[in-house]
Amino acid sequence: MNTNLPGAGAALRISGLSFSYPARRGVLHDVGLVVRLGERVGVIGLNGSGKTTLFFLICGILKRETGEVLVFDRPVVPGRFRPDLGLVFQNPDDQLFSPTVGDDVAFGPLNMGLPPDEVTARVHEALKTTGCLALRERAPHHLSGGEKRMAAIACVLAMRPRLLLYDEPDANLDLRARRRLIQLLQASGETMLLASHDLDLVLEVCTRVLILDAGRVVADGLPHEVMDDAALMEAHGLEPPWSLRASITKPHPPKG
Amino acid sequence: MLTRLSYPSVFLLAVVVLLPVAAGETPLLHLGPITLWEEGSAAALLIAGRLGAILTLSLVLLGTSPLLTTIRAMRALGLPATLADMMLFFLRYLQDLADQLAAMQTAMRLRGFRTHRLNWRTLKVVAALAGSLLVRSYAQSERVLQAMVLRGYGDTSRAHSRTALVLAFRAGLFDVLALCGTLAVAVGLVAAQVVFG
Repeated sequence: MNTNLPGAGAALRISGLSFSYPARRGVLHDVGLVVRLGERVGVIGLNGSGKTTLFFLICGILKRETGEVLVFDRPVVPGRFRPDLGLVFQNPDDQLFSPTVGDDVAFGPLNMGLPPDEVTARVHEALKTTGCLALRERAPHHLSGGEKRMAAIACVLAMRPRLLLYDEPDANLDLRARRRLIQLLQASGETMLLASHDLDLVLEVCTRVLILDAGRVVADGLPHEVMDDAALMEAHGLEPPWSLRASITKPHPPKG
Repeated sequence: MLTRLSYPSVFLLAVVVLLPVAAGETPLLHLGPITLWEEGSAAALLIAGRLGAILTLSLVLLGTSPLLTTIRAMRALGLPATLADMMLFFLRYLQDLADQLAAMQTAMRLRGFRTHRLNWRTLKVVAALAGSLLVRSYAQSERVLQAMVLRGYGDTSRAHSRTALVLAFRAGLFDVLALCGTLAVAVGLVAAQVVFG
């Protein structure tokens, strides 16, 4: 693990982080992690391996049992608003609660106390970046899954966070929406942590990858190296992404 | 409009039919064994007129302006911010809940469950369905609150942090003109009633 990286310039520094839910002990065990400015870190692992919990602890949604979380060298205090830190939820319906998409995107900047002109400019910029300008006056519950996802990302981008956490942003997206998402993430300049089961997406977007297994970081390195290690991936219930497999198994021809 | 008015009209019909023959002291008309009373008839007309006016006005109001505008107007008229936000959330997530319920019912039907068989097991399954929907709604409300807090909702350390989602309606020039027109028509009607008696 890279926990011994120099602290200067670190966007995120986690040390000794452990967490349990009342009904489930040991969800995260002594997690240590340093993410440098501008890094795009993929977090992969099976369902229940602790990815979402890790993100919730980084944001301060959950209160950690032990350990420390520093974002841009400032400790994360549970419940305290940190506009420099943004989380895109797994389910966009959790995030889109305002009457219109425009209102929702403006929600964060207004809470930051920005002047109206600045709010308008940020809303426009975030909607343009995500390709959602035409959705500005639409009600969130009338949007398609892909549109909701992009609108949810716009809501977070409007606060201009310097550290972005994406919790399975590709879930339930069709191929075109997935491609748009990949292009958006690739063009993004923020430091990023991205949890996903789509390993090809992680390969295309991330500069570094972590494997979480049973609440522990069991691998940390370059995406091509980590995800191409079939033995390592298999040991933690994963498979190398399709794009890294030397020979793709062809489907059996129909009998008869 | 007439279709929407038809449901409350059933209640109204009962009042209009029963009151004139059941209440009052001054007979208006004798139709065999049935007597039509003046006071009952007047009360029935009054109730029918008022209920009809209220329902028509409500339907026109709700049918011609977006619900959010109506909520904002109610907020400007003094509806507490919490209630306005609750109405907004109700509108926003009612459709989601209905979709979830429909999906769960479909899943149950696909596995052979039929609600028309009323027995102990059916009641247990329907109760479990309702419980599951309640738990899901609660969990989702928690996640929505988390998403709001992460974007600064209710942060007491910031002076600008908002604690209300629905902002009060602000009247524009057109709204002022429309109000003046409506008041003029109302005053005209009252004046006409006074003059013509």
